[in-house]
Amino acid sequence: MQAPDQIVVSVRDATYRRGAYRSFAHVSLDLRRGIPLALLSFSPAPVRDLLLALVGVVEPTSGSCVLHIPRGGLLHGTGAGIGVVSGIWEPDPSWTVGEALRREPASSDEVDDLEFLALLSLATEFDRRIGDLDPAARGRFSAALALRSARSIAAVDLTDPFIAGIPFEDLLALMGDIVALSVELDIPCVVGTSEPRAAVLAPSAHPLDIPEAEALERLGYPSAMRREGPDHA
Amino acid sequence: MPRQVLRAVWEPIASIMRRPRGRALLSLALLAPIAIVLVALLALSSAAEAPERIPVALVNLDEGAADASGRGVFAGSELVDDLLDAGELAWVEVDRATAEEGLRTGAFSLALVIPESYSASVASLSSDDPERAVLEVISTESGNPLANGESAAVIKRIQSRLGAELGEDYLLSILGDVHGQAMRISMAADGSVALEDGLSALGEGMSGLSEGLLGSADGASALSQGIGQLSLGLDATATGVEGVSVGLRALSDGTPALAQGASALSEGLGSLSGAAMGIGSGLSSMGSSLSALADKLSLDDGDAAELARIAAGMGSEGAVLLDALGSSSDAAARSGEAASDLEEASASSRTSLDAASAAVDSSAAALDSTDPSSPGALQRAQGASAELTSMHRELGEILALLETGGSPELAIERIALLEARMAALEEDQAMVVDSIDAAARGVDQAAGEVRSARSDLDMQGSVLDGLLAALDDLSAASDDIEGSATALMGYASDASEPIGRAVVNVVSVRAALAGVGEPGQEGHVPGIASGVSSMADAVSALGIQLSNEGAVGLGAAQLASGAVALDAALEPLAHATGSMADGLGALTSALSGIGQGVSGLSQGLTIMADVSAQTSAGARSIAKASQGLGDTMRAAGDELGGLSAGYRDRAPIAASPVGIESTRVGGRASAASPYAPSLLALSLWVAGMLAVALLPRSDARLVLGGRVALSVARTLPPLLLLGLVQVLPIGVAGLLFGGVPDGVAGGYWAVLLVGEACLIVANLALALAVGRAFVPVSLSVLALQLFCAGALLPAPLLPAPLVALGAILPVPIVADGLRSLFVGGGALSAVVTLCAIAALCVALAVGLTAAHRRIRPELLPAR
Repeated sequence: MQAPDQIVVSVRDATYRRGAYRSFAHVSLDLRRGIPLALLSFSPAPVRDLLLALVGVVEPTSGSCVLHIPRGGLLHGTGAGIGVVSGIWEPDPSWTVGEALRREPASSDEVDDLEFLALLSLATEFDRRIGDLDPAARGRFSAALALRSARSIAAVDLTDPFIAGIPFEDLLALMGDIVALSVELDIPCVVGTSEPRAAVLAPSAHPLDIPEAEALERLGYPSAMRREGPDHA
Repeated sequence: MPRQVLRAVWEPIASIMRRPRGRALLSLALLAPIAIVLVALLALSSAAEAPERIPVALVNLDEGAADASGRGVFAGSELVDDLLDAGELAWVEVDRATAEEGLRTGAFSLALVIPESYSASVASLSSDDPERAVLEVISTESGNPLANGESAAVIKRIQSRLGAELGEDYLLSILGDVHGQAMRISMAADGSVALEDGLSALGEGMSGLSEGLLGSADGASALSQGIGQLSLGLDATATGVEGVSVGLRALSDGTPALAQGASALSEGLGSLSGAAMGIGSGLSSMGSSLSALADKLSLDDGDAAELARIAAGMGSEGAVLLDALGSSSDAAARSGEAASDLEEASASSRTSLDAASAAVDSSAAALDSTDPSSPGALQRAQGASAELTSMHRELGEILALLETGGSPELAIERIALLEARMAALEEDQAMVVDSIDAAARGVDQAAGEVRSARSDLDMQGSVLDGLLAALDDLSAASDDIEGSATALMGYASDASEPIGRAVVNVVSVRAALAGVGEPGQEGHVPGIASGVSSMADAVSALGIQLSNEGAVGLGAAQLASGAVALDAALEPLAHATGSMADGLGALTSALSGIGQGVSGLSQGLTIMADVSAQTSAGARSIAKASQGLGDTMRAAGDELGGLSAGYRDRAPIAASPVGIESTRVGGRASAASPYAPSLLALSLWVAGMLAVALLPRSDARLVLGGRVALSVARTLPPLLLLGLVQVLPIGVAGLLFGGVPDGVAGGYWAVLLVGEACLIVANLALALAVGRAFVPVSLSVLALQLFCAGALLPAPLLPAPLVALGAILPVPIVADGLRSLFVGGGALSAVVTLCAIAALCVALAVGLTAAHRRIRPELLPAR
């Protein structure tokens, strides 16, 4: 059993910039167990890239991103769980929610899957095809996939086009459920969003740029960037 | 505008080049075709330049043979040596079992088997019954087609070379035979020229013979004329002989009288002789008596002397008379015999001359006769001359036909007709010779008959000479007889006076003279008077006999008249004999002429017979030469015909004296079979490529979660399942059209399934390696594999790098495994190798998946 505030991932001055492509820059943060982290960026690409860096599939071009989790090898991997990431993995629209969940390596049986979906108020969508899901359900489905598979870290990108058009209230509700469930499941979780009011629902929120930081300040949320002194150079 | 177009073209490329992966893909797109071309050139050029590396088994089963001259032929060993020396292929001399095993295992591409009868077949090419030498090429149904093709091409070249060499020998043999026949025909042509000369000479000979026959006919005509003259001479002689005969008959008629006279004269002279002898004895006794009487009577000496003289003279005349009579008798007898002989000789002469005349007529008829049913030798010779002239012309036409390249068969037929005409001509020639021989025999017979007649005439002449001598002797004897008679008459007359005186004187002594006693009584002594009387009677009787009325006189008269008559008869006889002598002279001269004519004719006939014999010999020689020419032409024709008769059988042998007999082992016959392994492997690769292209190459969520192996483990089953589905139709197609042999289905499906699994994993790894460029890269890799050893090209044809790649790349291994399976070999090694490659590819896929777990955000779709 790990300590509740154990740092799962440490990011120090991480930047990703290749050629003309510029993503996140000078990001430094710690993801701690029991403290869900919200990443706020008005641009969706830096959120995605940083989420992928936190689960270990994107390596920053500078800085460091260290996962403090035991590696289970090629078979078991890092135990990271990630929601839908368009362009990397998108569920087949013809699949049902249950089928997609069944494909997750952590899936044991249908009852568990159904119970798990119930935690996210998605049990009623168990047999619905993914292509038929509304944006809110898609958001919950993406969160379910991340939390269901995660053993060390869960990453959910609420800026992904897969859940584009999700109503604001549903987004906030989803954000709250993800935070609550990750705490409940004791899964280190990081959620990317472009909505500051959703970000402030997480115990910890990290703006990826100054505008996002200012937005958080306007909401009375102490910005980590500000606290750690962001480098916008 | 151009700038806009240029920008429109360049912008996409520049966009790709701005991204590192884009530059890599662009470089791959540029370099991959070049690489494929280079690899293909390397493989194909190496394959084209290295047929000597293709392993081919060489099995020599040849047992050797002996050719027509008994020389040993070991063509198999020579072929083996040539092949090993030439090194066109990697020949390996092994036994048949090793070769077949090597074919099954793929150690040999082909096997060339030299059969047991190879040397015998090669040796038969120089005989009258050539047979094609056959080499056996054993290939596998699924051997590498290019290796087999290259090997087959080399073997074809070997076959062509052998065919050229053996075909040259065979054609030399044929041409030698043809040349020999051509030489024979040339010699026959020379012979025909000689035959033409011979025919020309024969024509000249026949012309000479014709001229000789004409001369002979002239001679025969002259002979006939001579014989006519002879006949005339004989007629004259016959006439003379007839005259002689008449004379002789007259002489014969006179001869009896003469004979009678002579007989009478002989008788008279006999009796006269007896009388004279009595007179003589009487005179003797009278002389003694007179002597005694003289003694007693003292007879006057003068009378006594006179009487003595008379007695002596009478005695002498009596002897002369006896001789004359004897001579006359002999002459008469000889005259009779001569007359008889003369008659017989005359008849014989006539018979001989008649026979001679008939023989001469027959000879003339044999020599010259216009009777169509029985022509004379002259007519036959003229016909033969014309026939020979025609044959000469015919032969010239035949020669012209042959020289102008006409049909030999037609020439042979025309020569055969010439032969028949020659045979007929020879028969005519024989008949001419027989006719001439018959004429010669007739002339010889006539000459013999003439000679016989001539000897008869000679004998008749001698008989006539004897007759004339006998007549002369008879005439002389008659004169002697007449003289003796006259002398005796004189002596008798002279003795009468002294005797008278003695009578006067002896009257006294008459008693003494009268004798004592009576005659017939004992003691009678005849007296001189009686003695003288008796002697007078005797003398008187002698006188009577000697007188004209006496027998001697009559005989003498008759003899005289006979002699006269004979003389008269002898005169015409002499004339006839003279004319006959003239006739005989003429006959002799005619016979001499005939003899000369006969001699000339005989010489002519002899010469002609010689010419005829020479001509006949020449004709026979020509016929023989013609027959020999015909035989030669026929033999040459038969030989050439024999050479050309089996041209349908010989032509293929001459064109291709060495044949290749292909034998396939291991598998059903199928045109696609040699390519089936390569095509199946190709199909499997394409199937695997499509499967990987269609299905997810990884489970991104697992990859994202770091569960790479699990991702691969989850990715492979659907790929393998699709591959299994793809293998089924491919395998069935291979079974239906690939010529898969029976009994290898298990191995076949095992290779296909394992191969497909391997190829799918390999394609998966390739896809994980190249990402979006998977399909073109996969096709490029497929092209590369096709040029590696074992896929299409055999290892011996390829350079070492491609051989090494062929040993580790899956497509060549699948193809090689299938090929090995099809030819009866095992596929276990291929299956094991494929499994190993598959495992390696799985590991590679895991590694690549793990490597791809790192995401490059710049490559993701822009948000």
